[in-house]
This record gives sequence, structure tokens and C-alpha cells, in this order.
Amino acid sequence: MKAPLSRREWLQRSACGFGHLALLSLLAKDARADSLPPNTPLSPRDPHHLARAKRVAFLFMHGGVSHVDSFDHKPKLAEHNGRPLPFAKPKFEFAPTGNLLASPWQFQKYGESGIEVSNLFPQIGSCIDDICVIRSMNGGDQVSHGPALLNINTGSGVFARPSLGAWTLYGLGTGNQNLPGFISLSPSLYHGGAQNYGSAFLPASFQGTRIGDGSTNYKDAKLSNLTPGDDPALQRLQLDLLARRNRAHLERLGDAPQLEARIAAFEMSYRMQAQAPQVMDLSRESAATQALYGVGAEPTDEYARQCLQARRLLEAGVRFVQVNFSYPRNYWDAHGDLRNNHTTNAKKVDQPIAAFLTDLKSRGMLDDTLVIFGTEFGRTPAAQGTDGRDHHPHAFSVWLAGGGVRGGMTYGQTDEYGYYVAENKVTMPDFHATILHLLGLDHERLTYRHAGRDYRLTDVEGEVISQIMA
Amino acid sequence: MILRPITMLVLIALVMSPDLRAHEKSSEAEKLFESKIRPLLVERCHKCHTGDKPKGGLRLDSREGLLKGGETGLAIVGGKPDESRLMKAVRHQDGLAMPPDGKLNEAQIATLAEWIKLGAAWPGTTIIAKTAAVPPLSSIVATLPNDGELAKSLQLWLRADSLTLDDGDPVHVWPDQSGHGRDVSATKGVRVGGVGMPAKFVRASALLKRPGVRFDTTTGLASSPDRPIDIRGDAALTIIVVMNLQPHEAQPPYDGVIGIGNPAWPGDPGKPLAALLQINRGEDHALHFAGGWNHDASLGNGSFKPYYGKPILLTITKQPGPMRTTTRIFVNGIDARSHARQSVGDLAPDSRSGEPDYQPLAGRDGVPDIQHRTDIGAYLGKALSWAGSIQGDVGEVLVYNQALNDAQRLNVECHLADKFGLFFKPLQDTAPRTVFTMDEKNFWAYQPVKDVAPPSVKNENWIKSPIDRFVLQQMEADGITPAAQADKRTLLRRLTFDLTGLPPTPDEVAAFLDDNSPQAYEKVVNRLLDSPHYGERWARHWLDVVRYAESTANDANAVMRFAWRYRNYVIDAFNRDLPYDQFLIEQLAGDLLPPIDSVETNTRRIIATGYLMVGPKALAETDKEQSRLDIVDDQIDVTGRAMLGLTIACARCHDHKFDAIRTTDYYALAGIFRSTEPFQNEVRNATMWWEFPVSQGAGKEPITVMAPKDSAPRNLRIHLRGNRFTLGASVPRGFVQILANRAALGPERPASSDLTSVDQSPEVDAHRLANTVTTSGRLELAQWIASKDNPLTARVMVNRIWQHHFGQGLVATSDNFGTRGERPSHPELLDWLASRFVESAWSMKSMHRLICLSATYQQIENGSAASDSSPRHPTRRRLSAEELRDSMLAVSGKLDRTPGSNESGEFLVSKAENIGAMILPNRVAADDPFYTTFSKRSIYLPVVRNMLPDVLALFDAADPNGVTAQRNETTVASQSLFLLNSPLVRDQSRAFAERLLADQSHSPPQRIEQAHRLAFGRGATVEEQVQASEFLAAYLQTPSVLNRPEPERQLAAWQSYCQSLLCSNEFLYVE
Repeated sequence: MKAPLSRREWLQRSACGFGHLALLSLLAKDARADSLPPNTPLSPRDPHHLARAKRVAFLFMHGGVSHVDSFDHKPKLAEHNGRPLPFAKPKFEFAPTGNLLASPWQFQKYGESGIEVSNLFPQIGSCIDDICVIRSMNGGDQVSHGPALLNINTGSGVFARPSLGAWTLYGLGTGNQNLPGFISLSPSLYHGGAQNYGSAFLPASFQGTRIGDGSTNYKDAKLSNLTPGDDPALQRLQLDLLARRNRAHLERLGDAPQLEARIAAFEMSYRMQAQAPQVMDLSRESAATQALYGVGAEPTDEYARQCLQARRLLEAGVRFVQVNFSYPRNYWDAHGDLRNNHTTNAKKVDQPIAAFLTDLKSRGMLDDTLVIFGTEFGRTPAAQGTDGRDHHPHAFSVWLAGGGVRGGMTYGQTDEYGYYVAENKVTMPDFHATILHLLGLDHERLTYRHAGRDYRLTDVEGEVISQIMA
Repeated sequence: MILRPITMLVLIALVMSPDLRAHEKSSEAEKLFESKIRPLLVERCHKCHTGDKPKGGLRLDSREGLLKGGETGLAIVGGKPDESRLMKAVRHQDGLAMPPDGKLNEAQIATLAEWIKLGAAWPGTTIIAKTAAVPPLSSIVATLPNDGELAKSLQLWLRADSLTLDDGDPVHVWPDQSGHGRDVSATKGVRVGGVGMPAKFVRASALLKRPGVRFDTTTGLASSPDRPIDIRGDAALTIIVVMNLQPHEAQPPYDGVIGIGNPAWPGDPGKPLAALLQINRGEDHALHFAGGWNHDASLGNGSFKPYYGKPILLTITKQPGPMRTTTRIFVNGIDARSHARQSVGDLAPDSRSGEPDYQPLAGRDGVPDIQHRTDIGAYLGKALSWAGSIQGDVGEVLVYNQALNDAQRLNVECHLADKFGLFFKPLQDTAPRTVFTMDEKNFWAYQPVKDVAPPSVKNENWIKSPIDRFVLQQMEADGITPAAQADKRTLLRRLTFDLTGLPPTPDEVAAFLDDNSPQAYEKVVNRLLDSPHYGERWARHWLDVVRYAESTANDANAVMRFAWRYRNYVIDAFNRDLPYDQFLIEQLAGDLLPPIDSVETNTRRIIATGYLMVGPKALAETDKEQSRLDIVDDQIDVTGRAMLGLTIACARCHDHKFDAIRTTDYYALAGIFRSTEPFQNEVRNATMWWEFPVSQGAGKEPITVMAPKDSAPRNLRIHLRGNRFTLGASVPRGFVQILANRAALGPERPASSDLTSVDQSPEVDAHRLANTVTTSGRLELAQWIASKDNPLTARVMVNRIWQHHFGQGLVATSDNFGTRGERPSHPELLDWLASRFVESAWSMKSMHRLICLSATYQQIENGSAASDSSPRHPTRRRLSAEELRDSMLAVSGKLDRTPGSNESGEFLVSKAENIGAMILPNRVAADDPFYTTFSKRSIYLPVVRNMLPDVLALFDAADPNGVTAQRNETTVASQSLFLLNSPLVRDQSRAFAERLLADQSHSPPQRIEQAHRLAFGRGATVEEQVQASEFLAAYLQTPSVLNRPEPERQLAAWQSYCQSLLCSNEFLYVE
């Protein structure tokens, strides 16, 4: 029996290419984390430094939530409504925009911190003391959805790179070997599609597992291939036969770790068939909890199911869950009819998100669960048409909660029109570096050797924003 | 607005200036440094500009760092604070702003300026870097002719690209864009005795395929005398013309390019009354700038002769005063007096031999008195009976009534050079001279391939092929003995999978086992190589490397309907054993090969260039030029890694960190690819790529292909930090320089890590295309890559072939032969194979034969993880995703072995969304039933970027967003779930069961036997028979099955049994 590899050795080995590593036994018989050898791709690994967050829920708002209508109040917009922007617009606009457009929503101070939130999100507002709003996000040059989505999810809008969740799994493994470690709920099939939760050049073990997709109601979503094709008793018979065959085969060939791993993988998938439906079964939640999220009520039902599902998955040990509000059914892309678009969408997510935070908190999970509310870009303070806003990567808002983040604060500022970042610009690499840092990972050390060089999620940039840490 | 350091580090390279050295020892400056400057640098600059990875490449914590400079432009000019970019940065000038966390106060800025004024002294060490390895930011900025102040003096501006005519249309009027309405025409300006005929518009003219106005000996255009150009008397002026003239014999014997004023003979010694640009053919092609019939400012005999037939940028500036002494003539940006007797265009771009030797202009010293005629304004070509005609293309004409200063002139010239793709020496002069260290030059991969004789070994009996000698020699040295030869059954399964990606059929197994002839094995190798399934297996390896897919990825993920033709081309190329050098040339430049008699071949060659088209494309990118440059980057990345094993794309933003590849190499290649157009309209958003019909000969329907078109060639400027808005020097199109100089280098030269011992040999700037090449240079690039003298091409491909037979290449990093890649485990063997490859006329099948027939390949697998690392067939090779699916279909009897055609493309189109545009966004989900029911081989499955079907995505198929040289091999539970529950596997298991049950006369043991023969190529053991019977009995007795009707009940049991075989390790692994 070989001694288990240290994390350091493991990383060194992985740097040599993964084919090598995949030869090692991958799956232990017991799904509990502490009994797993440290040398498997998905088993839990120590972080670089003390982790403030042990798991991540990324609430992704597809289409571009308008920052000046949600978390970044700009009274000047109302004051100068209909007047031209007094300084130059960017070199490249997605489409031409006109004059400044006042926000149709009122803003109100919430909580002890008194942070202003628009009345699009009253319930999220009520949680504001647990939230750190970053008002100075900058999405670089990525003006269209596809590249911008890839940028926030993978760090590059141009090249195929592993996703944030894949990097997280690569760095930390996952706690429950009977469930995928990285799950994306209802991801869009478009705008980068699977690349947004893919593993690119990292081994496939780190790719996200999709449940449902943005084109169908989450209510009907299934984990693919999870439903047994045969009744369980029959499948057990079949698996026993398979195991006998494989063991006999293994005996003929002698030591062959990858063959053992394959045997274990079948057993694990059998257990996954049993456990995953339980975790997926929202009816196991109390009526009160379901009502808290808004399950069964419209218009909250779908996103409520996703948020509740996310909590159940995180609770069961899944490392990274992305909760997508996504194209083409749910989409913040208000080129016209801003009022209707954002009102409708906000009503779908406000209660579920607030409930998610409340629920995590009441279960003591918020302290070590990092909740991210993100979008691929903001929307132009200037009008598109009469009542729309265009894509705006130059400045927008996201927020973080839990997982070592200081609540009740804002970070960064835009100019008085919300057009450009005026203070403490946060680039996508900064954003990613900070998330990894909260997870205990040093973004400069989390590297993978590919095509002759070491790749990072943050490429050659990124600074951790230490000011937002609790 | 606060600017981020990363965006604002458009600072700073520091070149050694004489001033800096002169003031080195100034004690006053040193005092200033210690008291004020060093603390300031520490406090405000060191956060970013220290350490191994300083921002912008600039270190401000040591003199060496300061001297070595950063990545962009000049940081400080000793003694000249106002010219120093460092000062501009702290003063927030020119778009720079440092430090990012707040501007320095005025006192600090003043102190910094004072320090630089005193020479920027830095006490202590005085090591001076010998070379500035980074390109300085050029001070030349492409500027529109009417930009800012220039608009005031612009008198006439004719642009061929402003004409909206059809190709070949007469140009009756060529509108003036200066705003003065001085349109030139064939009628209006010509009033008395005019003979001007309209010139002709040519869309792809001899001006590097840009639009031009074509003149011949009868054509001339002139402006109206009612709007005379405001140049009178002894006026200053500038004339700039972009043209390509051809010599001709028409009378009078001079070429009148452009004239302003009265060209009459004023009597000697009269005053020059006009400004005439003309070439006097009668006096042996002297270029004159004349004030009438006098030859007042002439470059002298023969001076224009070299420029005939070439696109040039000709500029004349004149200050007030005698014409001869105030006139300057520039060709392609340099003072033509320095090259009076040779063509500037032919000069090598690196000839920078100090101050040019200026010849004075010939002519008279008459002071002009320009007067306008009453019958005609400015005139081009033969606008009047007495005027000299020109023959050739004119692209742009500019006239100013001031003498542009050097900076203005260069900026406008730069704009025109960029626009027309012209050679422009001032920009190329700013490129860093490429020098290589001896270490770089001596790196193994750049050395010529050496044809080494196979060594002798002790154990001669083991040798079946010369390959074995190299391998065994190493083993004998390491004290390792070869493994035994694998048995026949194992060898057949191994060979059949390796060469065709399919399991051997029971008949094939039986035939091979029964053949006891000595040639039995070789016959099998040849049979498999002749099988059409060989191409289907090996094309897949190539498609992995060239990131083949049928959708664009990114926003639209649009369906590339005809990509499949390229896929089939690759399959066909392998099957017909197309010589590899031809294979490469056709993919890179098949469209540029001269057509031959065979329509089929010509078509095939165009389809091959699908190679350039099948990469990802950002159709919704707003900045279209950025999108094009990203496609170029993809093409360079793929070409570098696939064909040369070089990571060239690393040099997009900076010189390659590890390999001898410079940004100049990158942009030399980028120019070639940028001169090739994949899009039908390169400026429109969400535009369509090229798809066009190709004739198949008389009586046949043309077919539609997806292929690029060679477009107007252009040289690119270095994009500092990869940013297309910070442009450095211009680089002529060309190839990778480190591979250019093999002949000049001997491998025996001593290596040295001393960075100062750079080799200054003059050949290092070779491998750039001549400036007269009027095509993209793609064909030249292809021929250079596919040359037997290229040290990498053959090595890289034989290594790939080796890798797919042995699991690992002789160079383990098969797409990276650079310093960060692995060294070859058997360098002599690699070179010997590369030599054989070239010798066999680049036959890939010959390489397979060599390898498969070797004893090395025929050894048993290395079952344990022993220390023996000698080449062997890979231990427990899991079937690839495609092999897995194909094998299931083969065993179930459902595999349709006919070659695929357009099914994938048509399926994707049928499912795509119609958005009322030419592009069709993909709308196929990963679990579309098509993926379950399609029964041809997996290589013919649709390949949608970011939406691969489960069977491919789960089992480590290549991600088509990038180059995949070697696939991962993972084992995860989701694979098992797929094998247990997916419709694909369940359907195939059912079909397999039906196949077994088809012959009703068979007994269950016979069926079990047949199942084993089909799935594993062997019969069932007694134990397996027993297990199977027990399983079937237990299954049939399970309560939920008992009540099911027959024959469904039997079928369910057999289906479950068959599935257990398809899921078993024996099935999933080759051996």
C-alpha cells in the first residue's frame, strides 16, 4: 500500500498531467470525507490558508441587472433625466444610446447600515446587514452576453478556460462523494453554454454537472442519467454480475488502480442514484420552509425551488452550486421596457434569495457559505430607445454575503451617473481572486500546467480585496 | 475616473540615453535622489514596480530595473523631463495616469522632473543592460489626413475607397474629400482642347488589392479652374500620392502624375509657375518635382525606375524658397535622396546603418511663383493634350498648402501605409533587432534533424525493426530486458483499436489465429491500414489538434453548416495517405495552389482550408477588428502547436517568456493570417463567414464550401501588451526567426547562459517576406512549414503518431517542443523516424508500418508501475469516447459503417433558430435524441461547441475550443451513471440482446459464448457461463419480472446481461 500523497505532492503530480493521477484509485467505499485518501481528484483537500468559506452559492442573474436601478443609487440621473451624459461615452458601445434615463424605482435605506437598495428588492434589502455590495465592478471590454458570461464564469471572454467552480473543485475537492461536487442549476444553453461551468483543460472530473437548463422550468429538471433504467432490485443483480466480472478480470491482470477505480465508480453511482433523489426531493422540506422561499407560489416558484435546492445540496456537502436565473426564460436584458422587465424578474427572485440567506443563517451555515449575487454586466445609465438600457460592462454592482465577508458595507463607487468606476475598481480577476481567497485558496498558487505554461483563474492579474473581509 | 495600473501601464521602456550616462556622477543629483527621489519611489511606486513581476514590466527599485525599462516606449529621457513618459504619467498627460492610487503633489512632480533634468542619477551599481529587449512604443501615430490642425491646410483629398462604383466602372467624377469641392472629373475640369477620358475604378487594384483608380495613356482627370487650389506664388506645400505605376511608351515622354498651376515654359531664367510631379521617361526615369518645364528639383537619372510596378507612398514637401533646396521627396517614409539609385522598397528592413548618405537634389534654384490657369485646375494623368499620361493605379492623393513637419508627415504616411498595407520603413525601424542567446540558438528542437544510423545492440534476436535498436540500446544501458511478445489475440485487439478504433470481429479473430504464416501479422497491419476505418480513427486525432467543430461558440454559437467537408477531407487524406507535407500545405493554403487539371483535387484543396475556418469566432464582438485579431490568434495558436510544436501565441503580448519566439515573430505571422479573410463582411456585426460554390465541372452541380479568401495583404504593427490601441513597430509578414537560421548555426558552439553574449550575426532578421509580395504570404508560410529543412515539422508529426501508438510521445508534450516542454526520451530515434518520414515522401502509413511491426510495439503491456519507462503499448488504455460508442454499436450489430456525409451539418441546421439573419444559432441540446439514434461512427456526430453530447463530454473527448494534443483519461461516477442509465447504452444493450436471441435454435450457453466472442474476441470461460446462467435465472425469477409477458421478459434479462458486458472493464479497456 502506497503512502497517501501529501497535498503538495498531489499538486505537483497534477502539474505533470492528469492522466497519471487518474490511474490512482478515485473513490472510497465510504462517502464520508474523513475516510477518503487525499490523492483522488474529488476528495477534499486542505486549502492554502484558513478558509473563511467552505462552500459557494453563486446566484447568477443572466442578462445584466441594471446597477443604477438596484444597488447603486444615482440621484443625478433623476436630476438630469433626458440630458446628455456630460462626458465621453466609451469607444465601443454595444449599440448607440441616448440621453440619461432616471431610474423608475425609489431607493430606500435598509438595516442598521442604512445601505440604499431600490424597491425592486425590498426583501434582499431587509438582509442588507449581511451583505457587502460591490459597486465598482468592471467587466473589461466584454460588451456582449457570451463573452461577458464567460468572463465572469471563467475569467476569459475570449479563450476557453476552466470555470470558477471547476477551479474550486480542483483546489478543494468536495465533501460528498455521492454527489457531484459542482452543480449548476438551470444553466443557459447559450452564451457560452457548458463552457460556463466546464473544466476546459482541467480534467473532466472538475466540470460542473448540470441539472436542468435555462430553456425549461426548473420544476421539470433532472440530473441526467440518474433515473435507473431498470428496477433497483434488477439493477443490483446486474451490478453484482458486473462486479464479479470486473473482479475476476482484475485478478487476472494484477495491480491496476484504474480498474479498481472503475469498479468503485459503479458502486458510487449506484449510491448516487439512491442519495441524489433524496437530496433533490424538495417535498422533504417543511411547508413553512417552502413557503419562506416561495415554492408553490407565483411568480417565485421556479427560483425558489432552485434556491431551496441549492441549500439542500450545500447542506449535503456539495462544494459549489450555481443558481442560474437564465436565458431564454428568465433574462434581465432590458433593452426596452426596462420597468416591466426588471419588475417581473425582481419579483421572481427577491423573496427566494432573501429566504435563502435567512435559511442559511438560521441553520448556522451562512458563516461558512459564500453567497454571490452576480450578473455579467450592468446597464447603461443612458437610455436605449425610450425606456430601455443597453449592456454596460464599464461599471456595475454585485454583492457577496456570508463566508467571511463583512456584511452591511459597500465597496467602491461609480461616478455620479453610475457610468464609470470612480473608486476602487474591481476587475474580474480581482473578483475571482477574492472569492478564491475566501475559500482559502491563493489565486497565484492555484495553477495548472497546460500547453507549456501554468494557468490561473486570474491569468496574470487579480488582487484580493481585503477590505471586504469580516 | 481612476485608472487601474494594469490598463495604465502603457508606460515604459527605458533606453539608455547619452545624457543619462553623462550625468551619472553628478553629486547634486545623487543627493537629490537619496533625499527625495528614493523615498518617493519607495512610497508611491514600489507597491507595483518591484520584484520579479513588476507591473508593465518596469522596475523602479534599482538602476538596472530603470535602465532595463518596461514593456512600452521610452520611460525617461535623461535631461528631458518633458519628453519622459514617466513624467507624462505622473502629470496625467497623454492618457497616462500614475500612480493609480492618487496623483503626486506638485512638489513631488517638480522634484521628479528636476531629478530627470539632472540626468536621473542613481547612485550605487552601474550595471547597464546591453540590449533593450522590448519594443519601444513608436512615436508615430496613424493620423487621418484631415485630423485636427491638418484639416486647415488640406486642399485636395482623393480617396479611391470613397468611390461607390462597380469594379471596372469609368470614374467620371472622383469626389474631393477635403471639403473644398475640388472634385476631379474627365469633363468638368477640362475645357479647352481637353482629351481627358475617364479613368477606371478597380476594386482590387495593384495597390495590394485595395481599391484604386486605374489610369492608362488616354485617361486624365482634372478639377475645375473655378476652385483653384490655394497654393500660389512661393508657397509651401505637401503632395502625397499612393500609387503603383507601370512603364509605357506613350508620348510625350514623361508621366504626369499630378500638376497644380501653369506648366508653361516661362523662358529661361523664368520662374517656376507650377508644382508638377512627373517622371521623365525620356531621361531615363528621373523623378522630378518641377515648377514648369524646368526640372527644378530632381532625384536624378534612374531614380524612379525601381518603383515601377510597385505600390509606393510618395511624398513631396516644399518650404518657401528655391525649389531645389526646399523640396524633400520621400518614398515609403524615407528621404529618397538617401536611396537615389536603389529602391527603398527592396531594402531589407534591418538595414539601419547609421546616418543615410544624402544626395543633393539636382535642378535649378528658381523661386517659384505658382500661377493658376484659367482652363483647368489640378490635373492627374492625361487631362490635356500636352499632358503626360500615366499608366497604373492611384489609390489616394493628398495636397496641403503647408509643408508638413516630420511628425505630421509620418503620422499621415503611417495612416496610408496601414490602410494600403504598404511597406513603411520608419515604423519598421523602431522594431527591436532580433538577437538570440547561444542557449536559445542551441536548443535541441531548433537543430536540424540528424539522420543517425540505428545502433548495434547485444540482443540481436529481439530486433524486428530499426526502431527496436534505439529502444533496446537504452534498455540495455539501463539494465532492463524487453518484455515478452503479446499473444496473437491481444495483438489483434490492440492493432485493430489503435489503427481503426473498432474491435476486431469474431471472423477477423478467427482468421488471424488460423494464419500461421510468418507474414500473418504484417498482413493484418496492411489490411487495417487499407481499411476506410483507419482514416476515421486517425482523422480524429488530427481534429482534436485543430479544434474541429461545427459551431462558432461564443454568443451566437452559430452552425457552420459545411464544416463537415473539412472533417471528411481529413479522413480522406489519412485514408489516401496524402503526403503529410501536402496535407499541411493544402490546409494552410490549398486555395493558393495553382489549379491543376483535376477538378476534384482543386476542390479538395479549397475544402482543406476549412482548417482556418473551423475555430471559435466571436460574431457579436462589437469591436470587429478585435474579433478578427482573436481569430488570427487562434489560427497562430493552432498552427504553432499542431504543426510546429511551438506555443507561438504566447508572444502576442510580450516576447515569449521561455522560448526564442518574439513578438515580432508573432506579428509577422499575424500579418499573414490577417491578410486572409474568413468573413464575407469584415466590418459588420454578427457577420457571415465565407461559404461559396465551387464548380465541379460541366454537367455537375457546384458544391458549397466553407473556406477563407486571400484578401489585401497587410503588415501588422506590434500590439503592445496585445492591446490593439497601443501600437509599436510594424513587422513585415514572415515566419519564425529562430527556425530561419539553421544553416548559419553549428550545434557545436558552446552554450552560455550569459545574456550579454548575444549573437549579433546579421542573418537573424531573415525569414521576412519581401516587401514586394502581393499575396498574404500564406502559401509561402505553408511551404516553409512543410519543408524538409524545417527542424520541427517532421519531428512533431512522427512524435504524434508515436504518441497514439504508445500512449506517450518520445517528446511527452506533443504540442510543445519548447523549453517548457519535455526533452525527447530517445532523441536519436526521434530524428531517425523524422528522417524516414521525409524519405518516405511524408507517408503516414509508412510510419504506422514501421512502428507496428517493431518488437517494441508488440511487447506485452507494462502491467505494473515498475521503474521501466521504456516505450510500450499503454497500460490499460481506456477506449476513447468515440471508440466506446463505436464499439457498442459494432457489438450490438447496429453500426452503420458507411462514411458520413452532410448529416451532422443538416441536422444542426434543421434544429437551429431562424433569427432572420444568415447566421443560424445552434439550438441542439446535449441530450437530443439524435445522439442516441445516429448509427454511423462517432467521428460523424455533430460537434457543437459547449454542447457536446454526454457520451463525448463525459468520456474526455477533446474540448473543441482549443488545441488538444493529448486527452485526459478520467474515471468518475457520472460515467458509470451514463453506462447504467443512458438511452444510448440501454438501446445498444437491447440491440445486442436481440442479436443474440435472433437465432432461435441457439441455446443459452451458445448465446453466452457468442456474446463473449462479439464483445471480447474470445469465448466464455466455464465460470462466466455459470455466472451468466445464474444471473439470467435470478433476473427472470425476480418478482417484478415474473409477470412480464414473453418474449419481453427474456429480452429484458438478456438486455441486462448484455449491458453488464458493455459496462465491464474488459470491454472499456483495450487490454
